[in-house]
Amino acid sequence: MKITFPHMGNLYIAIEALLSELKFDLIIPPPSSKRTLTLGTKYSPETICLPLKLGVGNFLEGIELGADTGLMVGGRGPCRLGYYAALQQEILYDLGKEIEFIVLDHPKEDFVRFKSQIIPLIKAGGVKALAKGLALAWEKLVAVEKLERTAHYVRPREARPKAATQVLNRALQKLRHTNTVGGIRKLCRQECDHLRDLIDRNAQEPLKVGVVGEIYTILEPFANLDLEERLGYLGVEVLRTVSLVQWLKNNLILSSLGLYSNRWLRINARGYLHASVGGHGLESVARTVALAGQGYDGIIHILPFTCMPEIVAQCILPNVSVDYQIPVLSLVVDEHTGETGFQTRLEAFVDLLSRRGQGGLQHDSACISWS
Amino acid sequence: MGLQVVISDQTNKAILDYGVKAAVDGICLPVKVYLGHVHNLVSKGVDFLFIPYIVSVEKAEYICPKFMGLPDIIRNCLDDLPPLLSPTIDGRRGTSKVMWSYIKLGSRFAPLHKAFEAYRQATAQQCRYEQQLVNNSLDNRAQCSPNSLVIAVLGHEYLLHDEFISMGIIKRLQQAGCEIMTAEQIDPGTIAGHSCFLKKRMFWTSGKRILGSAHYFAAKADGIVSLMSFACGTDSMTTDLVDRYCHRNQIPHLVISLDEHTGQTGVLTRIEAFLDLLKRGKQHENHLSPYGKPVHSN
Repeated sequence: MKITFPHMGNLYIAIEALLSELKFDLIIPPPSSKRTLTLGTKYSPETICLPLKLGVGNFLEGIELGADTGLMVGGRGPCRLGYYAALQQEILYDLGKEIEFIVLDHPKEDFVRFKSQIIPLIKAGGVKALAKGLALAWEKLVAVEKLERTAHYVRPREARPKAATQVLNRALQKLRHTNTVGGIRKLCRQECDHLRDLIDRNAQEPLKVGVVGEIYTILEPFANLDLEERLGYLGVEVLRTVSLVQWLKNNLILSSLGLYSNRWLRINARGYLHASVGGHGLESVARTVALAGQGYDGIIHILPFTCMPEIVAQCILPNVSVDYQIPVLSLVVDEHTGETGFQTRLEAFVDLLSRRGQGGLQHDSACISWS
Repeated sequence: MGLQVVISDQTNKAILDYGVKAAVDGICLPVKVYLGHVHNLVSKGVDFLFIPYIVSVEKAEYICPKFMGLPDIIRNCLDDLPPLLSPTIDGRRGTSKVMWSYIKLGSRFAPLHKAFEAYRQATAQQCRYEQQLVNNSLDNRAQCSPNSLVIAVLGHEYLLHDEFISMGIIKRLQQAGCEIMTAEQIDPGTIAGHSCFLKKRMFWTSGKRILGSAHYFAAKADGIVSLMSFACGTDSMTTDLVDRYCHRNQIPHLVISLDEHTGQTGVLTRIEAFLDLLKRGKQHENHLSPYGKPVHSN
């Protein structure tokens, strides 16, 4: 059994840790590229959202490398993600690639399938290996996010351009080959220090921008055309509001214990959005409100074209922007890979933010943002 | 309950244009049209607007995220609205919850027993109407000319039965001498049974209806026409699944994607071509052209 799975940013590091601990053959598809996108777009429905298309591309590239099993998450709606696995299976079947699918779904969804697929998977390596694999995967996930967060902090302040990205990439590769919890923690500490060493002490305080929106497009640099890196080079400190660690904690651990509540989000979004609309829709609105109160200079809202939950947020954010006097830029991403237009919009947005900072446009609410 | 009900006009160009202007670019056509209708009602001078949060109408199923936040979308896209009446219709844990949210709404305007009675009458009326639709279906109709083509038309009800956005597709097919079948002519139990062919349970009620009825119609209809609206999230998946199903089972399938484009000629040509294909298929003993290739090529 050779398992492949779609990419989502650096998530593959954690999946690799778990599955190799369970002694599965793993085929990591090449990082999402234009070829992935071309393949995915060619075989997916026309107006479906970008993550599915890239996922199909990842699967096809994984199959080319010899994979015979696909690993995917399921879901129970209302977002389309819940049906991704089923549709991707259909697409691959019609292409004559009959690969087995392991879908990590809610046990209530299809218990027979859950029993026949997941339980052998757990039994294969034994409970001890599973526990170790999960611990490693979790630790790596935490380390990846910490490293990325540090890189976001360092980039606008670095003395030598692009140094932080180099150090980060090296650190992530080292992380892949570290296989003890203690080792991971030590490596993470060391590499964060390395990153911080790159800071130019004389650098001026950068602008602060929060990134809200759909989780895949935030985490996958290919999908968002390296948004976070671009902003860093433009001298902006990025705060990524979506965190996979937090999401897993809330939706897998706390909610299965019945302890998770989105009350904080609902209170923040009060007056704009009354309840969850699936995905990260409520989160986008609530975090925008919260960040406006924390003195952030601007918000970038990123979503794939036709994303259902985020488009509700997109309708609402212009009003949040005016009420809280915080510029919001909504970026819709699709198969389009032209970087120049994207870069120009970001540059214009950053210019607007820095002028506001100097007091030029402060009171002109009509021209607070455009999207 | 003694309240006067004002209904918006039939969709027209002005309504659509207003909606398109008020909405964000990437949202689906039905929401754009809805915004136009809301504006139409506001201009008629109403005191309250009834726009519910519709989370779910069947157990463990959803409608679509946009319906879950519809009043919030409306409130943020349009200015100067009268107060909204927005009960939360959430049947995820059983449909009895739905009843209570309606009655709670009703009790704002009338005593509780009156609201209860109004709810009872309204649901009875709705049931009667739905039963009537089932009774009128092709299966239950006695006379049906044997030569006419039977076409199943699939799509959200708000597309199918809106003559303006669907470009009168049902009427046009009927004028061309076709017998029409739609999902509301099948009772819900049958649809649920027929949606079992899916590998994974469909968690959108409308998606389940479309896929279940496609499976049901596959054996009965000469061809299937799917109406989808551009940028509709559920349609992007369900239409593709229907297409794959039809392709595998050699059922002629026509997908018509609707957006704010109002030129009708392109749609008409496609329908005519599709009907021609079906007629020829019948003449040639159901020998239909294989997918992507003409019949008469060597």
